[in-house]
Amino acid sequence: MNNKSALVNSADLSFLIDGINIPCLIVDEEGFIVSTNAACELLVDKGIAFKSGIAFNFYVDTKDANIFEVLKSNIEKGKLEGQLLGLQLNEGASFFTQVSISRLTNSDNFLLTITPVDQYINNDDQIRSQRDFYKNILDNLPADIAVFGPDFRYSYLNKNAIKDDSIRAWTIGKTDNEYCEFRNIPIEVAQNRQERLLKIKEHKEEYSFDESIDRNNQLTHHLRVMKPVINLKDELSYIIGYGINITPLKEAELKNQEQAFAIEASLDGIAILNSNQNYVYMNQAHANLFGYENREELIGRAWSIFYEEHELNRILSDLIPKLQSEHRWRGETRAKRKDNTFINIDVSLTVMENGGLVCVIRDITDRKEKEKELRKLAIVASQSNSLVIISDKFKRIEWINKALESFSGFNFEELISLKLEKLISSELNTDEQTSYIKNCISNNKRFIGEIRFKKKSGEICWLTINASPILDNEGNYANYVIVANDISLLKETEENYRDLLDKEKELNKLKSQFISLASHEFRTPLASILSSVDILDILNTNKVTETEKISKHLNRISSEVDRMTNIMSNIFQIGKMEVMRPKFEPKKIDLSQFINEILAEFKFKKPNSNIELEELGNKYDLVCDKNLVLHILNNLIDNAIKYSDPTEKVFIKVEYHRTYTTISIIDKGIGIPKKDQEYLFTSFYRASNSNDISGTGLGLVVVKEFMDLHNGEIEIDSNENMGCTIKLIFKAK
Amino acid sequence: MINGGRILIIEDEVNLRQNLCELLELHGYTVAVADDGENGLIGLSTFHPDVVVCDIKMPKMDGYELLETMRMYPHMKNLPFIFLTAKTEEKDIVEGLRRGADKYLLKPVKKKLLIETIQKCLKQKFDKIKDS
Repeated sequence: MNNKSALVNSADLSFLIDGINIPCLIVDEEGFIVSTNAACELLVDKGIAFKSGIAFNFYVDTKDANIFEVLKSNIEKGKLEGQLLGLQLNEGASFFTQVSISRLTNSDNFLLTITPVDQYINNDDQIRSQRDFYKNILDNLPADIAVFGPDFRYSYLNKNAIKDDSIRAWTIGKTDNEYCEFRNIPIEVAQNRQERLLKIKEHKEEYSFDESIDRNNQLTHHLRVMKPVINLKDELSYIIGYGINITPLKEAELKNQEQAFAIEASLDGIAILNSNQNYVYMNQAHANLFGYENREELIGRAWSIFYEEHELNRILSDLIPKLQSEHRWRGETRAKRKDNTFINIDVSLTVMENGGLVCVIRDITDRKEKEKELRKLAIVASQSNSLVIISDKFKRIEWINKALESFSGFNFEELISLKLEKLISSELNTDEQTSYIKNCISNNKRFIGEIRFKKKSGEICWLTINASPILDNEGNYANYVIVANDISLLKETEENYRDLLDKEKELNKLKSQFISLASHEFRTPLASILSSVDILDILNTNKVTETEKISKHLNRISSEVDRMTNIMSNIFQIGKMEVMRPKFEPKKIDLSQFINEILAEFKFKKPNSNIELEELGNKYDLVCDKNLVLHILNNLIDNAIKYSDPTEKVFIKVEYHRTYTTISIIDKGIGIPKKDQEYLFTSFYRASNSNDISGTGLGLVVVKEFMDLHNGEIEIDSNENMGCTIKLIFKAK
Repeated sequence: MINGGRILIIEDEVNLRQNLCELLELHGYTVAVADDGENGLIGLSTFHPDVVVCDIKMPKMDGYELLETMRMYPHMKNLPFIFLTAKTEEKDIVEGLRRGADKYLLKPVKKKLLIETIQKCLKQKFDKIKDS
């Protein structure tokens, strides 16, 4: 610039600056633009159009309102280098420029030269600040940035790519192979990248690819973009790699894929309809159900084409209100297929947010037919008097008939879904039976048997059961059908018969035992009689006339015959008892009077006997069988007299208590040894000290039997030679 | 026919015991009686019988026990022993002989059979004495 020139008018000035090939402005002392040169046109392209008459400040993007005064002060400070200023572009962006100012000689005007920064920067600070600026951007970019040299070694990595500063520093200059090895990343990842890098180098083209890294059992997905940077000589200077983590996206995508696959693979027909109820999407199964091989034929068409008019009306009348109120509908329809055959389908529709519909359909033609058949069977089963149970696939009760409900007392709701095996009570049935049936059920085997079953009322009954597994078309188990019948009555009769038979057997055993015992008991008196007869015979032969001897033996014969008669009558009594229970006819009797009658009889039969009656408590009538009690008392009083010294008294003591009455027969006789007492009620047992006194060993057996009939008890209090007390206890009813 | 001989009768039934005693005495035997097993043992050691006629079912000590005890004494090891009993079943007879009775008679016994059996026993005893 020529300082010595003395040009003053602005036109001359314009002429002067037009020759300069960088944008120049002449501004007045106030900073208003006086003229611009031709190079300013270059800035118009950038969006900056300087105009004369407008203040320079207007173009500057700064908070300092009086930037021009700052520029002017630079001159006074002798600062020769330009000032970095951002010029305002549209949309708030800035265009960085270096602005230099000089005062025009002989003029009040100033010359401003405006140099764009990219052509100008040479200042270290500025470079550093700019580098920090970009570094900041790069490090904070939510993406991995890596720069590879032409030898594919890392020459730059941002912070997002490797967070750790030392590792990042280490990686610079390394290849991917080294890096992957170091970071425990599968080597395939490095090999894969290497391949891409080679291709980029060869084709000088950008590549993008998905990279999946399985590191420490955690799968991550990255989208990688690699872009070559070519220099002027058309050589590869470096490759910029850009990567973002797309794991969530990828996972969502995989899920979508799976869902899409599941929808495609579904046997149910699935379709999506738009808000006009036209098909937008359907899986192949959907098309197939309606007899279409090519699903494209149906896309864009309305679902209503599958229905004849009356069916369509039926559907719509149900569907429209339901869709409005509940946003879903489910029903069974009869659709017409492409080949004009009909199909029964189960349809469910769900309204989507966009007003479209998801439609799922299932072929139920088979089911319908089965239902028809089942309905027939159900009528038979429900009308049957037999008890019928049908189980589902999981061996849970699915259906029972009315007969079962009314028989068991359980209603359908109580039994539904109950496991079949729960019906077999292990308490009522043997372990063997229970485990057999459970085994059959779990192996889908048929079983027939008899079980005990507890009704709701607690009543226990016998059932015959016939359980058959039903198989489906493929031969797999589908249901159990169990038919049961109440056989409690039959069982009861059977059990009664069995009891009777057991009783009969027991009785026979007893009888034969008894006969053998009885025959044994007859032999001793018979032996006495026979020997007496033998002796009499000898006496007779020897002409012995000792009348005393002869009469002794005649008496002996007669007494032994008496004994046998006694045994006979007792055997008859017991035999009668064991074959048929003796008649037990309890009646109220005046015990006091009754016993006095018996005692009077004894006085008459045995005038020497000495019996005394004692009564305690308030007398009342005893309910008993007069004949049986007569037998009991005769027997016991007879014994008491028989086994005592004739001079000793026999006492009869009657005690009336509130709930029971006792009759005690007390003697002062030979007593019964303790060791014999437990056998007293055994047929033909006689106490060891009863040798010299005739007896049958049956009397007490009969007494015991008769007391049992009265539900009474006998207590014995005795010792050898210490007398005997036999107490009869009758419960007062 | 061996005349005389000492017979011990052990029988709990009083009438039969007296009758057997009288009957055998009429046949010329010397007779002692006992009314149960324990007294029977005393009879054996005091009376020194040639033949024992014994019931089975008796108080205090039964016939089996008596026989067993008796056989434990060497001098009575071969003493002829006759069971006279009402136990008539086959198993009873087998049991009686197994326990070492020489004869087993059933009640009511005929006089002839009783005397014959006693005679056989006496003969057996005297034959043995003769042999030794």
